[in-house]
Amino acid sequence: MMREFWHYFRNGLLGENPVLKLMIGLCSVLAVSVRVENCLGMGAAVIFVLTCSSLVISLIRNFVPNEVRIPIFIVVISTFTTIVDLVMKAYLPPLSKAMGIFIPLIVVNCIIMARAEAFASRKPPLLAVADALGMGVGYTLVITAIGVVRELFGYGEILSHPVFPRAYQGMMAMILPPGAFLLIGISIALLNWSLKKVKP
Amino acid sequence: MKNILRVALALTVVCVVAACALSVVHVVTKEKIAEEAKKELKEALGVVFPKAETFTPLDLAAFGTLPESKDIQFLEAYEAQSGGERQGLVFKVASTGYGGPIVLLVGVDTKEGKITGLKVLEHQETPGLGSNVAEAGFLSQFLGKSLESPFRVGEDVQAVSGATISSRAVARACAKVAEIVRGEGR
Amino acid sequence: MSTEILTLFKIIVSAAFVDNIILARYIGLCPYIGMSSSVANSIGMGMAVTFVMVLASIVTWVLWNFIFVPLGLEYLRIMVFILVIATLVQLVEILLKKNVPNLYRAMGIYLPLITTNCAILAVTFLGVDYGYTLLQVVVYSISVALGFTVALVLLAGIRERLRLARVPQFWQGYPIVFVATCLLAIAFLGFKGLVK
Repeated sequence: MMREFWHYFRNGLLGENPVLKLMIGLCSVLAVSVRVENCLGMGAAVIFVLTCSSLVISLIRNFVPNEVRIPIFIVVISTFTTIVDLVMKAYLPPLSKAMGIFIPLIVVNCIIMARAEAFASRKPPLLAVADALGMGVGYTLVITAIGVVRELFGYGEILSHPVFPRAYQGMMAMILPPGAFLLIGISIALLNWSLKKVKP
Repeated sequence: MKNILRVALALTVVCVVAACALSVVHVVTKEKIAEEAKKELKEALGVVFPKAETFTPLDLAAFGTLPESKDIQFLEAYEAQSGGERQGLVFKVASTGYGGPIVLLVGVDTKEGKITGLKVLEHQETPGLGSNVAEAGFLSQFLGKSLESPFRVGEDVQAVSGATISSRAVARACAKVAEIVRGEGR
Repeated sequence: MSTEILTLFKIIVSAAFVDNIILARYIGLCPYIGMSSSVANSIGMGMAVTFVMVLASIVTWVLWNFIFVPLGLEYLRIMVFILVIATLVQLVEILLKKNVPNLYRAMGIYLPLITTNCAILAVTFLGVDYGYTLLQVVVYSISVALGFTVALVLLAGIRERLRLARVPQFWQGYPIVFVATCLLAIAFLGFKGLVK
């Protein structure tokens, strides 16, 4: 059981990384990754929603009639999304403000729906959680990596602490949309390249 | 028939459970959210008028006809008090910048006729250029400025480089606030 | 009256071009990448999105202003809006299949993909957040959908050309698509500051 757990956890990190391999959940990756702080917040929110809804969906998978499974998944996912939204508004207002509409949009983050449909609704709870955690952490790693590059070159700071000398003028392109698109393209190309190298 | 009942039952149960869970979270977080919003406003007001302890909301109608144009809008007004005595006024103004309205607080010391502070609350200016008008480096040049100054970019206000329109929007907000306060004093 | 028309015009330009939902706001990227392999596909997807987006924003606007705000149920918004969209998509699919088979053939296969299209949910949220009137919401959703379609068709055109180009091995597929998107986004930056 434990080995299986690790197998599915690692699957989400690299082999089937939701962002770079499956090309899902991109919107929030690009929109939020201007600051590392926002990336970590978004990653935590996604991990929470993904894990909780995968667990619940896996637990109720035998009671859910097949015809209405999609609406039921939607209700479960949106419940956890609303919880995250309200809790963030109450306890982390600046972070919630910075991410704005992208917190409610977690509900349509394709990663969560895709994992619910393809994995959680077919597997026992423990494995569903393993898969959800793997996917969530894989998502967080990618978004944070992009966030580090964008904040470092865009503002010359990491987590709002200056890294470069004061004279450094931020690279605007990194903060604006084009830089985000370019960076994600480079990341996918790098991942393709590294996977090719590891597995000849 | 039996199948329909099963489907309906499953949907109902899930929805009821979800709604209950959300209501609980809503009740728990509601007050905290309202409190945070209040605290945030109080902090912002404190930044633009550090000398005052209490702020009471005022009716904007009390200032007569306000300059309503598409470039500038007055949203709220507060009276800044210290020791129960009126020290000055704080206005919440929306001034149109490059990417949309820049919403900012402008604090005015009515006794000395000076700007006490500025704080940008919301803006959609270009990150890295126009967004710099929200930084202390730009806003500090307004501190202590007399209400009689022209508040014109290029004359007494230094624009953020590459963001003249955003800088003008902030200067315009100050100019209009100054105009109203001067009008009220007479 | 004229100021009202001017406001509508501003909404159109800013929603379709300045704040293009894909290239400036990063919303709706999944269908943007997934459905842009050919111009014909992208037009079908654009039509389907336009249709559902307008319907969804009208329904959610009415629900929001006449039920949720008066009853103080704002916190149920995420759940109800997404359910409304899902129901609407199903309904549209059934109706089209029965009554307008031609249109169904043109955009039917894209409809199921729309439920999880974040662009639609985002537009319903933004429509009520901006405090628009019903007419403004309709205009707003049409303009956003127009901007979405324009971006989709532009990228599809580029991708059709890219198929004939020699791309370095590791850049083939998605990476080069994102580089093309980057250039498109730079072009759309030129619209910034157009609306005052």
